Amino acid sequence: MQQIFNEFNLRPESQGGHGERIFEVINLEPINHFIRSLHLPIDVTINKAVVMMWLSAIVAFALIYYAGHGRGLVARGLKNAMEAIFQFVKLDIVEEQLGHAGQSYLPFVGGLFFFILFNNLLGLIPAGFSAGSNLSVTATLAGMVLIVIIYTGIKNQGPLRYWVNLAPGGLPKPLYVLMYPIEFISLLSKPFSLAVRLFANLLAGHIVIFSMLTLMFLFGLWLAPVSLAVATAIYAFEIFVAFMQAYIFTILTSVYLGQALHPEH
Amino acid sequence: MVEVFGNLMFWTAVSFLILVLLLGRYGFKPLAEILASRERKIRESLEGAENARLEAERLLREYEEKLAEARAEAQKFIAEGKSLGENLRAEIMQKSEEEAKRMIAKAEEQINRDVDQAIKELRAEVATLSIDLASKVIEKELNQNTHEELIDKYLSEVGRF
Repeated sequence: MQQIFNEFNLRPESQGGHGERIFEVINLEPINHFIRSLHLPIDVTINKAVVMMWLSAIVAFALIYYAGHGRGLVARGLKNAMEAIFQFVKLDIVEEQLGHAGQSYLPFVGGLFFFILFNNLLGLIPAGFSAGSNLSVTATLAGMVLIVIIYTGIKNQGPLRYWVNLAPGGLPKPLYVLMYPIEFISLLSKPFSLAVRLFANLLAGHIVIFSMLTLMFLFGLWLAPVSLAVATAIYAFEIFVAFMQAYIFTILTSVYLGQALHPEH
Repeated sequence: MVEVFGNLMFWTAVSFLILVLLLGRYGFKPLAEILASRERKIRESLEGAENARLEAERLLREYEEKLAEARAEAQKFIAEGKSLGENLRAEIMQKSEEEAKRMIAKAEEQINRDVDQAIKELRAEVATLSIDLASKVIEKELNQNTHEELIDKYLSEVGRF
């Protein structure tokens, strides 16, 4: 894996290495130098992936804030698009899986959707970078999902009953010795699959585009039209993937939350 | 094999949680309210349109009823007028008939009276003339009273002509 990263130079910028720049203009090194000088217990240096993450969060919030404010009963253009996406998240992801009790989960699930979506989309802009194509980022998001799932389960079923309900009732007693470890692994595999799916899909997209463009340097410039055409097609497909992966991540989160809310299903 | 980036994890958690907080507080609520209010407005408009349609139908029915009523009333008035005219005509006819009869009777009476009068006058005339004639014939003054019988006889003879 590390070899692939290095091979295609897709590895997220080193942890604030010397000469770290974004968009070839802004040098982050002085900031990181200052951060390192604080000797904090955890590493909080910034790099391109971090800045892209900030940007996607800012863009997501700005667009939603823009759609929710301003005059006019009839929305048009960008506002309309944001409303449609929001409505989709609210009705088809949150309320579909969680019912009206899911209202309080809307900020979390909707936040996940927009955060991942804009992370993916910003990665498609030339010179941009998808933070989601790094496993550390997706694993952190999935870890937070796991925490919220367990918290929801404990809050709704009680601290003991949640763990008891992990395995289905009505089985012969000896079987539970086997069931609980399996169910526990199943619980942990949920965020694991979330993290790996998102990371792998985004990384794969980048690698495929990069490979296609590399072909013309490997075989000669006469291949450029084919190479560019295929890369463009994959690029268009990547836009679809950006939405798709945001949707898959959030709908699965909603399903897991729904299971924690209503264990009988 | 997989490198763990502590700084990325930290910043993912921080930026995501801030985004969730901001969206929950300032982002989603106004948007949801806008959508809800639009939904409400559309529903109200549809309901209003439906109510207006029902009202219009009701009014139409009411007007049709009123029109039918008015038509029936007009028919009634016409019929009444007709019968009234008929009655009036009959009455006038009857009255005029009676009047005519009365006038005829009056005229007959008048004629009778005139004839009687004429006869009476004629009789007196004839009487004097007969007396004159008789006195001339007999050459003798006769007392009217004593020769009444004679006069009557004569008169009846004259009446026969």
